[in-house]
Amino acid sequence: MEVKRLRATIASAQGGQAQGFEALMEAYGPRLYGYFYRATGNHHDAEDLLGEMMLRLVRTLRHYDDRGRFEPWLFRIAANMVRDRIRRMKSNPAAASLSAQSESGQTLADDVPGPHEAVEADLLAAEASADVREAMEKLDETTRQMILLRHFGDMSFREIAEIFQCPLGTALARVHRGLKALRRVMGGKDGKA
Amino acid sequence: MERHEIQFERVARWLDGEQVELTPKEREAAEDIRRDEAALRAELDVPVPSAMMDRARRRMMAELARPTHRAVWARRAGAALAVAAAILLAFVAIWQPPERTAPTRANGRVEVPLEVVIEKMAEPARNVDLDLLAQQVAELEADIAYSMKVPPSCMDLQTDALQQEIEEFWLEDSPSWPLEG
Repeated sequence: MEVKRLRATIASAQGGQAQGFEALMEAYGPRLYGYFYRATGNHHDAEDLLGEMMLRLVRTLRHYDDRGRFEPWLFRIAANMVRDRIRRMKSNPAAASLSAQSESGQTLADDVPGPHEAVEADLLAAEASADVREAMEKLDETTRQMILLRHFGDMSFREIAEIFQCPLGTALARVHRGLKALRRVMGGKDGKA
Repeated sequence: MERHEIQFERVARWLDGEQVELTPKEREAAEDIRRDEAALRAELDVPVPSAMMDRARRRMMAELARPTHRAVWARRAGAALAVAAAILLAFVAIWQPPERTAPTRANGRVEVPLEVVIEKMAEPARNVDLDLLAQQVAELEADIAYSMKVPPSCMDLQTDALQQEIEEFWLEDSPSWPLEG
């Protein structure tokens, strides 16, 4: 979305206009969903987080200062939500995620009626890069988040360094190492393993 | 290690779009990162089913339609104010000021209307004491005038003679000085 149009959209949403929020959802919903999916590793958590993110957007958009960039602001909120979700998953794995498996191998999502099953089947079929997910899981949490925020949030290294409160060079070094590791796990697609 | 950190920082700034002069080695590292990120881009993107987006949208719209706490409180405060104003108006419409009556005694004090006090204060002052004094002075002047016209009475003459005898006695029989003893 171009800057001028984005500003108008944000102003509209800040004024409580539904069209403004609809436009923001159109523009950033897929990217946010992608980020949540890659960060949590499952569609149910991603959908849940996307819904929660939209609620937060409605509640907090009036605090957004138009002088800054919108995407880093948006994805900073998303990153905090992911961090909280992962923390909860670690402290209480069974309750935190719909896809957490019970002893019998069933997930909570299996018991939920409705369109989830079809959606999941579609998505799983659509996802051709299961190896990416596997490779991402091998990265440490911070490095994975940095790479995802670079890609989905279109964040600069400086913005990433601010979020993770580390020196600029450290942010780049982590991303660089993470990318190398991903390339290695994914089979060295460009021949540099 | 420190040298690497500085190099990484320079590369990061260059990748962020800042004007930084990179060494060939730094430039190579920067290009390497760019290439890796570009290769990963297609792999990371995830197709989003429209049904999922619709659910998130509905959730968002429901939140938008829900009145905020502030709006709820503002509405309640507005209703309370309206009720209070209505009660006040009704009271003013019903209430009539009490009619003016004679001063009444309440709690042992005589209540005099303010208007009466103001009327009394506006009257010219009458000095009763001065009138009485003037009357007494006039009576005294009349007595003096009468006594000057009438001759002294017998009693007065006797009193004067006795007074003279007492004075003479003391002058004749008083001891001489110095006292002999």
